[in-house]
Amino acid sequence: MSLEELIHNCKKGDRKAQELLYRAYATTLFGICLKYSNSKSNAEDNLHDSFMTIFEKIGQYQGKGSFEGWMKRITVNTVLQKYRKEEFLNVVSDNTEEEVTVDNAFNDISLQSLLGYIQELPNKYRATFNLYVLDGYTHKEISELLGTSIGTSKSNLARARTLLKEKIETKVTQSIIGILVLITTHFL
Amino acid sequence: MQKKKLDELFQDKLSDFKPTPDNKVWRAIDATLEKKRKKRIIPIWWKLGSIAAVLVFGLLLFNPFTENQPSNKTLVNTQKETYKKTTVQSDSEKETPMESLYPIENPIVEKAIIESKNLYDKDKKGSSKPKNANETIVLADKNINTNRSKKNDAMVGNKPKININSTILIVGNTSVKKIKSEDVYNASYTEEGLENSNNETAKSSLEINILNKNADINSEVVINTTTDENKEIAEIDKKSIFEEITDQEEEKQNVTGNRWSAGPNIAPVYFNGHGKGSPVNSIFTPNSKSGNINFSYGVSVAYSVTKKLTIRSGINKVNYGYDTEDVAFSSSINAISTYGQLESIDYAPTSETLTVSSKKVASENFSTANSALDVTAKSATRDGYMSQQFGYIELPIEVNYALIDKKFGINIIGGVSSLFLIDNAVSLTAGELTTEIGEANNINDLNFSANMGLGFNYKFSKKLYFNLEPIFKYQLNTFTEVDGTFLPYSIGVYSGLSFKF
Repeated sequence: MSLEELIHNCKKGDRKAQELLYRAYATTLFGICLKYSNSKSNAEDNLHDSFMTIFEKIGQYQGKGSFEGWMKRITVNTVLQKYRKEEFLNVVSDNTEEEVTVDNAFNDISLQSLLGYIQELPNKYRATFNLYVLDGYTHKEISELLGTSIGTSKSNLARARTLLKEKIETKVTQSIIGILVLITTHFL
Repeated sequence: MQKKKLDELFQDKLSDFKPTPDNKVWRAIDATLEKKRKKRIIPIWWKLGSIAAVLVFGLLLFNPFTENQPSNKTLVNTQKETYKKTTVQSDSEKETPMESLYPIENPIVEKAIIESKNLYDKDKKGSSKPKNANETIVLADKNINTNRSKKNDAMVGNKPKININSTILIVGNTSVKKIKSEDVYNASYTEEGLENSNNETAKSSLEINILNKNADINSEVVINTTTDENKEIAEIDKKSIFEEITDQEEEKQNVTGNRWSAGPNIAPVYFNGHGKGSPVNSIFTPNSKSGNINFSYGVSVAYSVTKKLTIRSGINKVNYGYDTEDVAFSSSINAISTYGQLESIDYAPTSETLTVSSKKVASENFSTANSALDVTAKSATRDGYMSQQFGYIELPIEVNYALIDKKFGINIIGGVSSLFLIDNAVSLTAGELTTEIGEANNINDLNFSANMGLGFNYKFSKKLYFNLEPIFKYQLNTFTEVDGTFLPYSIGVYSGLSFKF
């Protein structure tokens, strides 16, 4: 079945087609959900809600532009909507530094750990970091999506970066210290 | 130590990040979709059904078509009688006064003349005074002529002419002994008026007044003095005639007899599914299915809203069934058979050891596993077919539109039915052996169908009809879950009698 046929059948509400569509795109969209949500279980909920929205609104997809892109946007919006209700203090810090660097030593950090750090971020920092760094949105687009100013968006990004850097360094330092402690106790 | 951009670190690891979600997510999505599907289907038919029910109920309560019937009927009937008694062709009733004047006038004049002549001859023979009779003819002619000349002003219809006619007759009959023409006229008119009023005891005094006024008008015409007042009265008269004519025509259209009819019906019903798929289990999807012919019987009640449009309902008992061919089944020990049991069937206690499989599919779950584990499988397996039967109580709401309504009539029929499940069974047949497995658990208790068809009827009498109606019924939500696309429908040829009352 071609993608066009699949979309056509989904528009008719065909159950088999809906399952096929889910099977084809669940991993991609689940990746997005994991990055934008604060836990795995919330990510699963958000994936569910995103697919429900996709099946509901598939009739509105006119075949213009990439279908995958369309679904990704719906997924991002679905997750962001959850957190949009939560109010944050729009503290605009001056720190809008672009370049945050970490030691090459941290290159080996596992994907799971990185994902964990992102999920631990406060909602708006996580959203901003994901949108800007991982999904290539501009600050203007982010400010529209999240209902903030461009300044706030830039500030949020900077804050997210700082927090992530701290997390990486602490975690790694902690594990190094841990190993050292283990070795020392072993020898003593 | 070399520094690396934090962004790059995350981008490298997370840009092509495609984790597989737990399957419970899909199950939850599927369940939500299923709920929505059900919600979507049922409310539409509930809405349509309730609209139809409200319409029918409203008609029964208020009945706008029969409310004014009694009074209209008596008016029209007395009018008819009067017309007959005054010997006027009933056809003239339909025509407007203007048009009716010319064609009817001449025959009356001729008739009058002929009759008068006859009287004259008679009188001649009877050696009475011929001159008087001649005078009468002249008088009659004169009257008619004056009437004709004044018709535009007076706008009088049939009645005046009738009166003239009877006047002539009366004049002829009395074959007067030199009475002044005016006097004769007036006298005869009083007589006529009295006659009419006697006949029309049911008539209102208003109408008698109108008649009397007609008489007045006519006498005025005779003496060639038409006043404005008379004109007005004539206008009123004209209006009332128009109203009566339109009423009468409406009645003719609307009242063809009695509105209610009821009667029994019976039909052979063929049931089958459109598309590949099996409501029982996905393993039977490639198997061929054949529909069964069952019977539907019940009673129907109909109400004719107009001459052409009829709403009907009723209650029917109907059985549907179909067979799934190429089914193999065997009896084996419990442990194995539960493995091979079909999810959509609630097994009867006596049939729990049965395993069913499709000969068309070498399904791992069913045939292979069973034959490998079940030592006796090879010898004990029987080939046959599986039949699924369901019985419903059907409540239809249908609309009939008459295309032809003569002695032989043709209707188009459309509507919906609510079907309440009362019987439900799945059985296996091999040769002469039939075993009931149990009940299907994926059939909805309440199901709807969209009905369309043609109706032919033959009228034995005004009260008794014979109906023959081939009707196609498309089932909307028979099964809760169907593997593949199995869209059930039924075709039935309903024959029955209906009695009007």
